[in-house]
Amino acid sequence: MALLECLNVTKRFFGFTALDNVSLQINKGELVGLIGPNGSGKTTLFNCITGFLSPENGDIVFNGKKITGWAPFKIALSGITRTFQIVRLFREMSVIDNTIMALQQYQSESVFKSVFRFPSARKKESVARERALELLEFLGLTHLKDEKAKNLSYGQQKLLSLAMALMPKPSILLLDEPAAYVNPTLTNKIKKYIKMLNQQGQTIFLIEHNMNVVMDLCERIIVLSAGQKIAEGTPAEIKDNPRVIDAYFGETK
Amino acid sequence: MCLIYFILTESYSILIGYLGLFSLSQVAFFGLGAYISALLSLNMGTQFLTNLVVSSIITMFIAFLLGSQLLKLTRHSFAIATLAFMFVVQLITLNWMEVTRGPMGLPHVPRPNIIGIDILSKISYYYLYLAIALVTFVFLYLVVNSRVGRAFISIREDEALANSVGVNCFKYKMIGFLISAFFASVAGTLYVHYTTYISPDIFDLYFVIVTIIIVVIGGGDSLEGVGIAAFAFTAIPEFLRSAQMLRETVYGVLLIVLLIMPESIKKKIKSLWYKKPKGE
Amino acid sequence: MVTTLTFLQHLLNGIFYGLIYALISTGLSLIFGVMEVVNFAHGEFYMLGAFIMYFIFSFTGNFLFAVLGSMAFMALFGVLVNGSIIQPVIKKSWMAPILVTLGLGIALKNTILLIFGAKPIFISVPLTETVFDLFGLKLQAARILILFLVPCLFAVLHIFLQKTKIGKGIRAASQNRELCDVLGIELNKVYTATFLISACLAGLAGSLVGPIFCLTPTMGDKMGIKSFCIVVLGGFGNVKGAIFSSILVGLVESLVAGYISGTFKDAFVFILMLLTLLFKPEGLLGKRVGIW
Repeated sequence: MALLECLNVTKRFFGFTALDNVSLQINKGELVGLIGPNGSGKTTLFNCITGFLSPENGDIVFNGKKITGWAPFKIALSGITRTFQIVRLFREMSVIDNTIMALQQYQSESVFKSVFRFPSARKKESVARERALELLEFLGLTHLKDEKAKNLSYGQQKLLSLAMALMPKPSILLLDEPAAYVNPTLTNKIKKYIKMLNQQGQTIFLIEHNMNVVMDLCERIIVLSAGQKIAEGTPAEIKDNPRVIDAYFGETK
Repeated sequence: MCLIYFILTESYSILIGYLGLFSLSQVAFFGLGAYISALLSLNMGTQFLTNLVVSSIITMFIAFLLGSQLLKLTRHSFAIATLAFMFVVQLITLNWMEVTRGPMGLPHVPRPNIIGIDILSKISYYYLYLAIALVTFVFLYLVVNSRVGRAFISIREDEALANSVGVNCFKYKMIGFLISAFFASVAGTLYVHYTTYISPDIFDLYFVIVTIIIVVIGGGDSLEGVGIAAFAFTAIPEFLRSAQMLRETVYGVLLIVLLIMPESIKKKIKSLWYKKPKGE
Repeated sequence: MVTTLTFLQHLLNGIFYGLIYALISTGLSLIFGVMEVVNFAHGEFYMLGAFIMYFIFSFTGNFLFAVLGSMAFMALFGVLVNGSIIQPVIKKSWMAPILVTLGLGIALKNTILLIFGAKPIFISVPLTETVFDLFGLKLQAARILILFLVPCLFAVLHIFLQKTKIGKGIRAASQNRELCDVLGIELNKVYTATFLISACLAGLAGSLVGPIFCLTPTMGDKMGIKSFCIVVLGGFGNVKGAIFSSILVGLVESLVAGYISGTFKDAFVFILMLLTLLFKPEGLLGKRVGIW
């Protein structure tokens, strides 16, 4: 059974069809890429999957359960996390706080207990903190842990947002243009991390414009154009697919 | 009086400063708490402590009903709706003659009587209210530094992001709303048992402005700052009692000036306030 | 015959009030539509216009001159307010402009209170004294004037917004501010113009209504709240909607006051607004892009 399925997803905005009957599957452990010209609906698809948008038609199925129409926070808690194309962070909070915030799994612990510092709540807090430190270490951000998020460089912010997405050990990680707006060195670094994570078993679904990244990393690529899925296959297949070339027509990266 | 404002504004700061939820109903809840306590005392002869608890619970319930509808609104609509709520409450107290006696208000609210001890002198009031204020402060402090407080800040900073990491924004907004309503009501009960009189005047925009000013000066997201501001702003007017209108003008201007002031000056003033300056 | 007459009287009254509301609400909606600022001092703009008119009138004795003078003053005042207190804070946070206008409103109200005192001021002007009797309908000359003047003003506004460069800029800014920046539309001029028009209209309403009833420093309170409600009803930032709901509210209020009860009419518009906020937050007319 596929981990994540999109079944005939259609999304319209005031008469403009952003997604037209898009169906796809992501299986456990895969590293799948989503590409397509600007405006083809990639981020819209992500938004539908994560609950920020509700499709007019079709369903999103995760782990066999229909999550279409679920509130975004509920979807996040069930194991789907994401990063955003333009980095989003809690700017006034410190790096470590940002990371800890990303682990809301212990929501089941009641609010009351947490406020009055019950031991069980405190234990969960320290567990969260430990994991946060681990992740920051993994991504090389430990030295910045008490710095306010807004003071980080853009590249560091990108890494932080990656840390946050990884905190709850998500079943599937959605990355929206992880290599966007960063210099080549950092791009390679991010590539390395993504590869490592996938090798450790993390399922990853990413949107990317940078063809180097996509072709190198992904075992399977899905191509969207004008809201429709026009191709799917291995990087080699996609590279030579006439429809794909046509859709991009002149866009080379 | 200072202490009353303290409780009122500290809890308000949770809502505005930490959550970023701009509600103008705080004073409405304040007044509600006051009125309910007064009515309970006068009609049913209940005592201070009972009033405190009961009126606050009732107010919280009203806040819950209100919140379940209003919290879905966008920021601007929310602000206006909460303001509208305040006016509706004002209109009701003004016109519901049978119960609230309208503009004449309800006088002769009995002074607090705790386990048989009548609170009459200023000093006993002071100690009692101080105790309550301390409890409030401790509670709010706990909340703010807990996961709940962090969730509040996350909602203020970036609600979409908070949602995508799993924060149930609605639940937390409601919690913040309820907490501030609860303590506003507490402050209201304290108020009415101190002044022994309540009238619809309490819903005047004046209180709204003052509470906002205190929260803004105090820095919105610092409990200590707001506390200090609360004291400053209730102590000073005692000296300026006569010039009510002037006072209001000054407040209005002060609000404007505060907001126009560039951040750097504000930070300098702030670091003068505190012995250990907040590193920036 | 009497009941039809009374009905017509109420109708006319309603339109009259509606037009006044429209003058005020247009400005409020405009400011929000273009700048996303809720001007809590708008009621005070209305009040200020009235008092400036009174001030000039007490010197010159010429009503027309006073009204025009007040409009000029309010226009300038609007520009000043925008430049000195709105612009500096508009980028800080979304709450800041709201608080600033709140402070401004309070400061204005109390300053006028200090200067002129709390007693209502009555002005007698030929316009308000003359009352026509048309088939039994009592029509105050001033109200007739408003009945004709205001729609003309709105026609002028329409032309302004459609044909002039700044007018178009205002419309564009209300639809997509960032795009305007990119396209080189001078947002500063747009903002200034927006505040100018809004303050002017509100002040005009005040100076016209002042002689009809009376002037008090608190006249802005109720008017301000009502215009908020109306703007909500018409949809925030939807000026045409504001005008429409102004007339609607004016009519309904008048009819309610005439046939049901006078005290209830104020509460009515509140409740309507709360209901709209709860069930149709985009306003009665539904979503609309841009202000006009």
